[in-house]
Amino acid sequence: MLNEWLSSVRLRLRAMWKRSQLHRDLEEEISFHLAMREEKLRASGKQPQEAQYAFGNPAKLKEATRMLWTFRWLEDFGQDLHFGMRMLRKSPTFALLAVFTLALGIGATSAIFSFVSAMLLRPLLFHIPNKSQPCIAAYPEEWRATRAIHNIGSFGKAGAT
Amino acid sequence: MEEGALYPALHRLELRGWLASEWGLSENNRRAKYYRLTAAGRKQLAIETKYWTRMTSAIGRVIEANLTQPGRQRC
Repeated sequence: MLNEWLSSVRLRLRAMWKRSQLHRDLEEEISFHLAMREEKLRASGKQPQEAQYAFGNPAKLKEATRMLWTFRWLEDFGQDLHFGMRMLRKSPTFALLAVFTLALGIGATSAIFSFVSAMLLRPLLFHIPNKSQPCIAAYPEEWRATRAIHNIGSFGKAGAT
Repeated sequence: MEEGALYPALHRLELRGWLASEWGLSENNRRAKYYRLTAAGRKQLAIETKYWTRMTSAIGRVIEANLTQPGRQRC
């Protein structure tokens, strides 16, 4: 299973370098098939066009084969990115507004989180000899209980103590 | 079944490492692609053959049971 996957990825990566050769080879492989079939039909006194009917839709089959050799999702993703960039460049006001909104949101969230983390979640930087009597009196009563805990593991018990 | 459906199938087998291909010359001196089974391909063929035999023999038994005792088995 893993071996199959590895061999497939190896071959597909190689196909990325030799894309045009792969296309030519496929073209040639299929035209060879058709030529041989036509010859056989002619030899048995039938219409050579019948080879095409029996073969099916060459364009569709070529596409299906090419799809096997490429990383379709990666190419789609690249095109989506490209398209997105083009759209943003087309309307710079919108792009600026979006960037500003994102910056504000991320900035505010991280600022609030670092405050909460330092105040409530992290243990105190110094040792409190008597935990039942926290030395910081400036905080409201309900904050003090959580401030006195020494690790996040006992956070849930904070209300009980 | 379209003849052309052979090519996606061949390429799929090649990508899985069950077939290896190389270009050579055909009898009438045209460039042609030749496929051969790899060791992994032969192993897979044995597995698939076994599975196919098991399944067809199971189907055969079901049909036979239905023929000898009609009405007993209901599908």
